[in-house]
Amino acid sequence: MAANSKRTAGSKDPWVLEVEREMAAFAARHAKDYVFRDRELAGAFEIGCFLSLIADYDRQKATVTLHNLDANEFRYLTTPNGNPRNFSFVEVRTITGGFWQLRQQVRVRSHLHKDITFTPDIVLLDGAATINENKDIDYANGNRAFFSVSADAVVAAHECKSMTGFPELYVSFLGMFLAAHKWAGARVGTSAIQGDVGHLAPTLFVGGEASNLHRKIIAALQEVYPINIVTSLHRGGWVLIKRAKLLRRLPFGVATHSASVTTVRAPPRRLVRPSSTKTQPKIKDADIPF
Amino acid sequence: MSEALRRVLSKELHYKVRNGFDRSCEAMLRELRYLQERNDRRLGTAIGAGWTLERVKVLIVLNCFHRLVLGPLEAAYLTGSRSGLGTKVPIKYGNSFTVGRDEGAGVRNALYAFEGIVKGKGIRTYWLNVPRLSDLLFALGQNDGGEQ
Repeated sequence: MAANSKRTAGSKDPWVLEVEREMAAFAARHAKDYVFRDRELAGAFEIGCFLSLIADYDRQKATVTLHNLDANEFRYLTTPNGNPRNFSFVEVRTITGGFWQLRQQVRVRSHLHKDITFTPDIVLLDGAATINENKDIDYANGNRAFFSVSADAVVAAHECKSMTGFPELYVSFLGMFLAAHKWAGARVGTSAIQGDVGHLAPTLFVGGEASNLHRKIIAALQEVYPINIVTSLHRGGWVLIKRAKLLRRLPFGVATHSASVTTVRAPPRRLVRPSSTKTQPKIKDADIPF
Repeated sequence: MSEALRRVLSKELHYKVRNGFDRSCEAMLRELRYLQERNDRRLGTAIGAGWTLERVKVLIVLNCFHRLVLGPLEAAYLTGSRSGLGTKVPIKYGNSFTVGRDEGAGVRNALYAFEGIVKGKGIRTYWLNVPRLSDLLFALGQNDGGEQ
């Protein structure tokens, strides 16, 4: 038995032996650099998507300004629980005269129903968008502020998934697309313009590669909805730049939204939860913020 | 075999990441055994192109390691912007980590070192990103680097 094992080891492919030896040296030298927690890896991927979005604006000669820096450091908001006003964000100005805010982890209150709130990873907001703050008895017993921004102000909500894509993931992005963009209702069944100028249409960033079947699904979804599904981001943010001309875009135009500040006070504790009977508002063309 | 490589690469990983890495490797290796039993055509083509079972197993480990560990870091640490964000202006992700020119030097070195090793062994980046073994075998058989 032992002799057999020795013979097997002795007959090992030199290529395999070399890979093992070099990877052992790599791990010994660099393990401290690549050891991250799972949540940190997801955060790193999100940062990569955020940077690739900024690089896309750089490519279009837009002016990118960093706000709320802390001692020359960009304070990245990591959860929707934080007050977005205390964290850094990016302002984008284009030659068309419009300006927008690019933020991460900002909760969106859907135009479909006021109780529908959720947090896309990255949002492009109208430049004048306001972060609303209220207290909700159903959130931290009404003791902490609940921050959100109205879907009226959302130009594009992006989601980042540091994983291998699959059909259900692609299709589920449509739910967020419809709930986060007031202008979406008027655009279903139409693709956005394709080209290298304009804001990136709402995009699902996926880390892994897509198979041929997945590519067909993605192409079909992009044909029916003004969205992008960008895969292979694990290869680096340059993937987005390389595909710039193939991506769906929203025209820059001039941002017109002037978000109203809604102050919702905490309901008294004895208040019974309201039933959700509000009907869906009608969507007008004028609601599209670009 | 690939077991030694797997142990070496996963040794220092955070337990949740290591579990994901192990599960991913095991799923692909299981699929490999299944394809082997069925005399799968794609496996045959890959072997015909010089990718022995032993080599395919090595690629499986490297693929899982890259997809789950290095890929997300590549996205963050190898993407720059003209505004200097992520380089001159470091991005501070809570108290966990910082993406910046100086702060990210170690991670970048690790990424470049890994890339250097795999390129030196004739392994294409695309092969380390494909999600399924069948895709990997097809790419190996065609020497497809995913350029399209």
